[in-house]
Amino acid sequence: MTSQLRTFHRVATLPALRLALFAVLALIACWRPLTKAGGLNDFRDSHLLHSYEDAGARTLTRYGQLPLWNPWSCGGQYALGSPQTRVASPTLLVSAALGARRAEPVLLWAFLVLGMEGFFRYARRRAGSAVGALAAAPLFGLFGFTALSWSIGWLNFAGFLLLPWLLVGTRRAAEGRLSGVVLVAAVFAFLLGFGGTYPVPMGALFVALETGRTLYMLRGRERRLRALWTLGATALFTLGACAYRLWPLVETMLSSPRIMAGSPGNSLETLARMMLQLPARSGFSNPGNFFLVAVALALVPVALVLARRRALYPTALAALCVWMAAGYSAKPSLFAGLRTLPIFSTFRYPERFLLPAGFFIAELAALALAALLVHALRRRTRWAPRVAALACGAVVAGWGVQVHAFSNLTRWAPMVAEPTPTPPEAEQPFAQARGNRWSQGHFLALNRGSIACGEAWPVPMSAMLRGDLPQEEYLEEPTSGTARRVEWTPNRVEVDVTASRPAVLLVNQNWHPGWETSVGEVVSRDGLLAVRLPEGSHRVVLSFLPRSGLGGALVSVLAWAGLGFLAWRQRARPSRPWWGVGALAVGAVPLVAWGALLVTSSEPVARAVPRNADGTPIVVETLPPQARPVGARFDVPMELVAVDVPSAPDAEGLVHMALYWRVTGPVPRTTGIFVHLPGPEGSKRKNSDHVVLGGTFFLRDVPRDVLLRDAFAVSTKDWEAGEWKVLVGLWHAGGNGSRIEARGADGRPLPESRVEAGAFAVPPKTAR
Amino acid sequence: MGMHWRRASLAGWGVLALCGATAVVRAATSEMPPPERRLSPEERVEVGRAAAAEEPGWRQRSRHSFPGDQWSQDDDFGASERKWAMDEARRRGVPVTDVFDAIDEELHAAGPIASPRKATASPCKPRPFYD
Repeated sequence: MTSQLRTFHRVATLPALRLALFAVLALIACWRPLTKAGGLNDFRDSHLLHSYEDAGARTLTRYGQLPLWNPWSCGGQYALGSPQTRVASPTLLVSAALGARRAEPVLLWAFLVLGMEGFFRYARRRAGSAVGALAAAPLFGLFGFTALSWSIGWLNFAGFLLLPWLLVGTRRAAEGRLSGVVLVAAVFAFLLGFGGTYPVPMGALFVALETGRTLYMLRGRERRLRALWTLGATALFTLGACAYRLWPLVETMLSSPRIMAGSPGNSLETLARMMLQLPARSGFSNPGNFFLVAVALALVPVALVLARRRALYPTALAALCVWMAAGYSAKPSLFAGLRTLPIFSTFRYPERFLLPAGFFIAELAALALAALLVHALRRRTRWAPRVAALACGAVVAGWGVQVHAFSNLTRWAPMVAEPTPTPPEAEQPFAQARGNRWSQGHFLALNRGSIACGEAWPVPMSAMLRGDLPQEEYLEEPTSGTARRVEWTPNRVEVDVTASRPAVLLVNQNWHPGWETSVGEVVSRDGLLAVRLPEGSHRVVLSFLPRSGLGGALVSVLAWAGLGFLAWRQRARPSRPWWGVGALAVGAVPLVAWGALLVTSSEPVARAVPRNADGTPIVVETLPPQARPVGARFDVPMELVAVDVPSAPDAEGLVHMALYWRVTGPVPRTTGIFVHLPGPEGSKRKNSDHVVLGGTFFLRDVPRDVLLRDAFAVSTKDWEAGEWKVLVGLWHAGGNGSRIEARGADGRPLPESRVEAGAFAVPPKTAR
Repeated sequence: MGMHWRRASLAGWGVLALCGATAVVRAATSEMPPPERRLSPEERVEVGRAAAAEEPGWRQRSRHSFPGDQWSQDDDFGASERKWAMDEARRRGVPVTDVFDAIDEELHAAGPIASPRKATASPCKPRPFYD
């Protein structure tokens, strides 16, 4: 037993053998994605996300430009400011070399190997056993969710596999090693470049927890003090290293915040099925999405019994993750609490916390194996060696099940064959198409932009974009002259304009403050990119040079230069510690430069005008003549100023209504508007409740002391003929469901705390 | 490190490199043969017109499915168009890209497009609820 264990230990500690094992397992798991690499993933999300990568690779290879502006999506968008693009990552070079489609499974393979190796390094330190860590690494590395992510086009989620590297780096940094600082900064910078809305915030959360754990474990004041210095430096350098993407993202998200409402939840049974049920070979369903072989879970009690104290942290974290994954089904809801924090407020799916749960369960499995092996070596009981061998055998068998489940999940990708890409010289000139977000990949192949946009955040877009124009660059007033495209590239457009009088050149793309012109002035025409020009003949050169992207890159370069300087100094004087005030000062330089750039270079903001779902503005100056004043007040600082309810549906059977609100103080986020529509006797009551005003603001966040128009509509197509009342009020939508007391304009309480906003008559069907 | 471990280590690096190379070569050479037939110019016109004829009906249905929500209406229209395009491609044995190309050509040729059809798409306004 001892000699066998030594051999296993040697195999586990030799990087080449370990990586070879991981590479083989990853290759088997990725075989189907690699085999289908030439196809197009027809899943809707893949159409969107893959198009981003394809556009980035195209920009690099066909035009020799950095992928700053993506004209093929949503009428043109800032590629670095869009959270789901991964064009700011070095992996773009793989996409450029192999083609974006073929690069995806290769990257998936590389991520699997990295994930397993990262887990090994993390778990070896935590479990104290190379063999235990090696055995558990594939359980985490081949976690089902990564396969699912590839299948539906979310390759960004493979970034989760770098979580152990972040934790290893955090611990190293706390121990005073500069390599830890570099690792944390590099992984966060990479993850930001690789895109996605989950890996970075979740990574930051677990890095914060790991920091606490490491500080707690360190013994002695001096060590803790050193850790504080080095972790402070880590934070500064990481922020600086991430600036190249963080600045564009923050700028974009502040101008167009993503609203995520709802109260998603999962029962424990659902979570168990997601994690433990072998995924089907085809179709798309929840069971098995987060598959982790049951043997890992079976080892948890072993770890708790044998490793006791060391098992406490991963057990507590795994339990917290499961609690989080239960979402709003758990009372109280930890997920709801997390959502109150700024970065986490847009988290949509709580079940994604099963991924870190799986990570900590795999850590416990490593710990259990380590403890069993120690028992076996010390022969504490007669059966200990057999139990240890059995457990190791079960885990190795578990690799096979994990690979099988992974392979099953990759079969969910609806890969379809498509024509080979058109060579650049045969491609038609770029133009916007009306497009189709469900099939966006087809449009990129045609060198057409898709105006139809299905992003998860409100991309600042112009309603003036068109997919039927004879030319993409034209004068606002056709009689003012002529415009002719000279050269078109994603980040640079050249147009010859002859204007008989001052004119406005319109470009059929969205405006962004990063656009600059060689002549005249760049302006936004209802969100459309435009250039105000003087009379005469001009060669107009429009260039996209966003302050946040270029400035952020400069800040990141400074951060890496600072880290390089510290590494050089440490090498030159190894006896002197690299941390301390000096290191913090070096780390602060990029951030000071960032601040200076913010102060000295001004740029307008591409702020989306808050609009109702019907396109009308939410903030209005005055009431329209047809609105009926109400003046109802509530026990929260809100007033229903007026209502606008037509007396009958329009010719199509639609009833367009508007409520006019004024908010004068803080309102709880959980406050919702109820709109009840009781109809003729015997009919079922309809409703149009909503907690997000105009689909744009939670009531907590709406602009204060202004008139707000809350527009919505109902279709009466299948409604019974007769009179339908409109009853409006406020309620605690996310709380106990009770109504908020309402008073009329005369100050008297309103019956049932609701306002009779009006009524409309649905005509008999034959009459329409 | 003993000689045999050194050899094992070398072999390990070799296996890693071989796996990486296999992944790259497999991805670079895998083929999914596309439909051989393509739409002829006449068929493109025909397909474009057929889609145009369907559009008012799809848009009307979308208005009732998502009353007062322009982005969702356009998105729903997009879903109907996609389904039709895929069915049409399957029926004719051509790539879906060809069908979308035909729709785009028709829109550009017939522009400016007026109601009840649209050559525009409402600015992205994702629904805040997904559960």
